[in-house]
Amino acid sequence: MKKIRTPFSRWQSVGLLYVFVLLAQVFVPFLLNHASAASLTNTMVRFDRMNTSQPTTGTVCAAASSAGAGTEASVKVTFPTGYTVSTTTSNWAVDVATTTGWPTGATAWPGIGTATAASGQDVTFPSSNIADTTVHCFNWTNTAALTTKSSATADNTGVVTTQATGPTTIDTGNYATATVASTCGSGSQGCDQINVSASVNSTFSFSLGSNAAALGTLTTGGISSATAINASVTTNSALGWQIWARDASATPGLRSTAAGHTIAYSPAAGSSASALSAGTEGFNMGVGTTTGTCNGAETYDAAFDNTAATSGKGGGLDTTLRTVVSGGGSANGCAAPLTVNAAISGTTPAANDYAATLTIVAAGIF
Amino acid sequence: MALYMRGLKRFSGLVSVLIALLAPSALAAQPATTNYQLNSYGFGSGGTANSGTSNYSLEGITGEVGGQNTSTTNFTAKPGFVETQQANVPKITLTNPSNNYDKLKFVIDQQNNPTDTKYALQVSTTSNFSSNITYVKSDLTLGASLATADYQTYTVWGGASGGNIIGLASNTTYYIRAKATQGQFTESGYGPSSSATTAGQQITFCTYSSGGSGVCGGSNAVSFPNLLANTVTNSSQNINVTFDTNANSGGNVYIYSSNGALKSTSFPGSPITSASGNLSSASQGYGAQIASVSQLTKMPPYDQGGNTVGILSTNVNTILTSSVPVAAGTATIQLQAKPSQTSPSAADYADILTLIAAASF
Repeated sequence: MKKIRTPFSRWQSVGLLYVFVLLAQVFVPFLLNHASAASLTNTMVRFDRMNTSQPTTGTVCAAASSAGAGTEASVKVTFPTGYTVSTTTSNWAVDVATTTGWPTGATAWPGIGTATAASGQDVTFPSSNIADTTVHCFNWTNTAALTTKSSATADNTGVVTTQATGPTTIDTGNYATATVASTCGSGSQGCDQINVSASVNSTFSFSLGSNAAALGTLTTGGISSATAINASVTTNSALGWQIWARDASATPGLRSTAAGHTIAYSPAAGSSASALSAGTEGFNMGVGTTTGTCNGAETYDAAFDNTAATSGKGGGLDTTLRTVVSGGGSANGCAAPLTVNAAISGTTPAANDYAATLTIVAAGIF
Repeated sequence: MALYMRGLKRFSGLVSVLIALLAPSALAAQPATTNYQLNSYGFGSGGTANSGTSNYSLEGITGEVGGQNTSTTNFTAKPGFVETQQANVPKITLTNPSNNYDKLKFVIDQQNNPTDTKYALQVSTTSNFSSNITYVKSDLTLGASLATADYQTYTVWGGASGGNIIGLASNTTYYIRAKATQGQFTESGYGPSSSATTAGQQITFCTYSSGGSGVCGGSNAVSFPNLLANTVTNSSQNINVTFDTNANSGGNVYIYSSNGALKSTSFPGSPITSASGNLSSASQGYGAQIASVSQLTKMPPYDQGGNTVGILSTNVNTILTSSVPVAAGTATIQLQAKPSQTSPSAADYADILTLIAAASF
């Protein structure tokens, strides 16, 4: 038998093999770290509209499989087949400020930003490393980014994938959503919407704070004014309301049956409001500034306007309903203070039955 | 044979040297693989009765009965002591009773094995287990290798209730079979296989008015009777919701409003604004309240009774939730409104509510 000599002896070969095995062990940790992709948990993509062919915004949420699953550099969202995905990355602007509707405990997706790639059904957003297993979310905020599919179907599936630089997949999570019809019943609204309608009935109420205005004993030395009586209006008339007054007696004014004398209105009905003078016979009614909830602007008729609160200022009444004040909007207990004033002269007959009946009415303008 | 043994000894001598150099703590002088090692050449008849390590043993028997195996399609009878000391071949069933997308339920049939018998479960995506072989690990995930710790008793594998294999792929058919062992030299062969298919990720959702036909896809109109100032009025119809998902973490139903109010086109400046609270004591308001629910949980502030309602805002708010898969989830949502004394009278108050759903897989 012929021996073939080799350049290495047996012990040289063993030594070389030993060195090789030792060196090979250096690479074992790297081989062990080459883990396969794991599953995201709580993977959710919420579409803010679900009816067909509807541009929509939405929210993406997921939690990493483990805190050390990998070093995330991006997150790729694969939208369901049939959904129209904008390939204009600038349409995929994101937001993490609006958190209403996020899962309980969810926090902002770290490092999320406007998409860096959009192709086919895939949209890739930048991400920072996710170092925990809590749920992270972000919203895409432009309806130009995505349009739902054209048919109403359940179980429209997609995938959320977290990626390390490369990109290499770290975690994946499948999700599903649904589309509903674009019209329901006889309406034209999407089937993810409810049309709510209502009518508000017209309302109006009116009251006088008192039915008696006592002037007391009249003297020539001054002007007597009764305590103001509030004429209050409550109405939901958006166009407003109006208060009128009249003196329906045959001889309008402050009349004494016993003396057979009437202290006439001063000024006469229809004239601009003016103040009485002490020692000069006269009777009138004025309106002050309204209080309460009085929407819109009030208009005080010049014949009764005493918003300046001048003593003894008012206007005359007759049998015609004359506008005292009007409101420009709805009112809730809007009170117009009405004040009657009187003055006598030295010839005014003495009597204790001077009286007048004023009629005050109001209405809403619907 | 003698020549072979000499060669084997020379080989083992070389291996011994290498192992001694590489890993002194793992000294071994006999032929070995990753999992098995021949502890003695005297193994078998006339020598060592068995060759074992902490995990594996070989048993040698003299005078073992030979003969023909008797078998049918479903049964095989093998002669000899080694065969008769084996555990009974277990059966196992695999099902997907809850329409899961990432887990399947297995239940072991012990076939009269003692209670301390341990079972190993092999899984494949091929019916004849020709590829994609995995094993159910002790944590109920699938792994490529079968470790000693993955042998579990019937009780640990969930007993009569069984257990769920987790981390499976959706829309995939899995096959499973089990083998049993009760101490050394008793491991049976694998029993018959059973299969089940995982579902896909699923979600269905519908919202509609109780008016009209009152069914999904019917009317989506909800109206109020004439509202009276300073009076709380319930909507004439309710909003119905149906929601199903097999998502492990359940899902949510959300609601948001176009106006955040009942708004009149004629008087847009005087809306009946929505807010959470008791309408009885509020001067005005508009909101929603969950009247009834099944398989879902009411979310605050929509979970109150009486005249306490939750806000219908332009932000998306969660109104219904579930932290587990939902089957036949339903809810009825009632709207309430109260105009103020000064809410303008008009017949065109309106709002559009959007209801959406999402599941957490």
